[in-house]
Amino acid sequence: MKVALILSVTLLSLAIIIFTFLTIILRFWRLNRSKRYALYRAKVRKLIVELTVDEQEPSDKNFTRKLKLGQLEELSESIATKVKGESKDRLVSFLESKGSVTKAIRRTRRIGSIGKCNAASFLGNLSIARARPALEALLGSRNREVRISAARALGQLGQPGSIPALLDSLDKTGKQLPFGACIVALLDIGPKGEEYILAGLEGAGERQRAACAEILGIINSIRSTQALIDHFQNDLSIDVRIRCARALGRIGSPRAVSQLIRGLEDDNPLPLRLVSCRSLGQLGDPEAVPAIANLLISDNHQLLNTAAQTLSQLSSEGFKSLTSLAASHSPNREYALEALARKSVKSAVIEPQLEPLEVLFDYQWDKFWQTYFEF
Amino acid sequence: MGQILANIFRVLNWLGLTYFLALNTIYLILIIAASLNIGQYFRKRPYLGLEEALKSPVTMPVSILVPAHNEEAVIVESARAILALRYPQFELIIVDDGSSDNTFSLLQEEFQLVEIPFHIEQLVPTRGLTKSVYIAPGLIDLTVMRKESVGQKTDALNAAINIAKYPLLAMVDADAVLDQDALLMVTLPFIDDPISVMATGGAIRPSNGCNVVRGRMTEVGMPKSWLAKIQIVEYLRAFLLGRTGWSRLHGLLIISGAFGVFKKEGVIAIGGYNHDSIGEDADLVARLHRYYTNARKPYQIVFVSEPICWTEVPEDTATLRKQRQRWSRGLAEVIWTNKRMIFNPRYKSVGLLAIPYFIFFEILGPFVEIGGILILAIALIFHMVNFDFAGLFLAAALLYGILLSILSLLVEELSYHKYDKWRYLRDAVLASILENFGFRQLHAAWRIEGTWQALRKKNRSWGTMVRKGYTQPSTSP
Repeated sequence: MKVALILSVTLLSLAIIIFTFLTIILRFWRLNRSKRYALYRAKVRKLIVELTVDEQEPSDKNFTRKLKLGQLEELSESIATKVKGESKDRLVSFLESKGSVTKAIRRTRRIGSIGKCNAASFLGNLSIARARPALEALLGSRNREVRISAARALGQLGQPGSIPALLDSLDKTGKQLPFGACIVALLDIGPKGEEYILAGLEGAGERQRAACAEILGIINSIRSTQALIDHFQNDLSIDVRIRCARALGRIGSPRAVSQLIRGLEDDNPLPLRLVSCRSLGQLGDPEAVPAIANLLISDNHQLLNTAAQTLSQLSSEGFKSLTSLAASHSPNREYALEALARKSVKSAVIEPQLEPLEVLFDYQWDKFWQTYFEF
Repeated sequence: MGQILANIFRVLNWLGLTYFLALNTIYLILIIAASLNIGQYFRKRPYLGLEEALKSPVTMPVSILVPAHNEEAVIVESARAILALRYPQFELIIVDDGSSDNTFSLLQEEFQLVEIPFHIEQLVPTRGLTKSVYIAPGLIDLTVMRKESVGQKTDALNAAINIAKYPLLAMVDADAVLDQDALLMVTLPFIDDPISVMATGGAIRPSNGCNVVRGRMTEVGMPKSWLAKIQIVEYLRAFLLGRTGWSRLHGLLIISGAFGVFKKEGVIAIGGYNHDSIGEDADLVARLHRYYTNARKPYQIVFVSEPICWTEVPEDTATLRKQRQRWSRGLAEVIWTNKRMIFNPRYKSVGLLAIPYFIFFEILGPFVEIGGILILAIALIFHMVNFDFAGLFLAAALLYGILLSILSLLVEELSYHKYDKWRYLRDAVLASILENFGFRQLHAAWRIEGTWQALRKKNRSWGTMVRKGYTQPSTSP
């Protein structure tokens, strides 16, 4: 036992010394590397700008020969997000000539998630159109971060043709693309992908339909109003119906009012009723006031709160129904009072504090002289 | 008699040795598991999807709940900093829990608060009467609730839960300094998996010695006090690496009360915070584990290792003693309340690994440590000390402790590298050594006191923590 203890103490002491030294060496290496890298970075950046943006011969030819491709690519990528038009095209063709783009596309097929993420990010930042199939293939990766990077890159490419692949990846079991990442990629592609998104609303996947409904609302797709109304009424998924209601509120088509009013009915699930109520508030149609005011006799706190808040936003009609409830002896009058108070406080304009000179201008001199002369 | 005593000491020696080996090996396993997790996280950091979460209109909105009792030194800056967090949609609810200082008047003056009539539904029980509710005009989504204090932070948090309007609840201490992306990072698991993630916690680090301007961390530093320096190493080893390790083993039992995010439906389902618990953070997490396992619903409780929340740690022994007593008392109470989970295979790694670990090593550990010292003293009196063995055993115990701290420093150096000056590294290494001479033994004694209080069900008060307020930036050129 004594021997074992002596051995343990010796080993532990050694381990402490080794790990302490390792920590110190690591710090030395880190500091040294960051210093060297900062200098190198500055030189390479200048060179890339000369070669691509300014279309000049490189000023330091010795340096060009010693360039490391990896760092060159990394810096080109960081510059790529800041340049546009011809400068960007020159930067891309410069990297094409170095073989970097082909290499990056090849890297998307290799093993190792970090390498794939880096390659996707490189291709996305440089907006390499021919990388689309490779990026779409990455959406099926088992690694979450790889899928996110691919979606981000496809968004940067901005090609509507990649929308079906993005939407499909939402419902792949075990390989789902995070909902938010898909939404942002679709938003990056923007209204030019409306056709594909509208088609996606008829898809089989629940998350796919939910994403399409959400995006159609955000891009204010007026032509999709009818499709959204249909899904709001008939979709099997509550989540999709809720998102359709929200989209209809955002688009603001008066055609949706009567459907959303039906969404307030008792037989609907509570979340759907709440969103329908808020969407009616966004539409601002006075026709909705009686239906929303009806909710004020409910015994559900959330519904009461939402209805009162919505009415406070809904023109003078809504305001009137709230004030009459506030003046009544109803047990729910507190909701009306709270909503009215919130509305008035939130819409209050805060005067900036007056500077000393402004105080003089603002002083009620007429009252002053009146008092003075009366005295 | 002498022979019997000698035999007893021999058995105790073996028991002590086995215990000490088991404890430190578990720590080592946790540190290795955490290092793997942190390493992976660190390499994937640029691709986690933070920017997507920020830009996405479907990111879940959050209600940030801040209980404040006599927090005049920090409250305005803290509120300003929280309101400036990078997050698409959130509201801030501050509960002035019966403050006798200027906490409320400072807030009212700063944000021009206006009182509104209110109606609160009791989703979770509260004890203190709500006196008034104020909101800020304009675009700032700030609500300040004034309530009577019942001397429990849990009551203030429950009151805030009742008026929160969003599906996620972030509990933040009034003195906590959050990084700008803290909320985004800690809610990322909810965005990825909105169905099963029920709670997430962020890594906490001491803010003592750091430069904080307008509630924002501008420079990470080391405090002058050695007590605080030791706590920095301790937080690194026990909280950052320990909790990351437990999260990887799916056995996370504590999400710090200083900064954690919970799904509102889950918190309401278990009845909010338990008023009678002094370790409210561990209690909430343990009850979430119990509720979702019993309901056979899939759930996850995740720890985010990125150091995103900074909080002031005590720099005097009296306050530190009270804090550590409270922690131990809280832990003992939580384990007692959830005793049915112990070694219950139904609760998987929480019941089979995490809770037994907390019982055998966190609660019993101090008893063994102090007991060992007492036995040594008795053995000395009876001249029964085998000095070779005792010296080697003591040396091994101390060296193992130092090794674990040094390993934590190495992981920190490999990953977040927050303490970037050479003297900070020197101080951290020294603190790793010094911790084992005096602090560790004192800490064990405080923990015994805490557990004893839990057994006697005495002293349920929170105690007060004197806030220094944030350090002002240096004016030197």
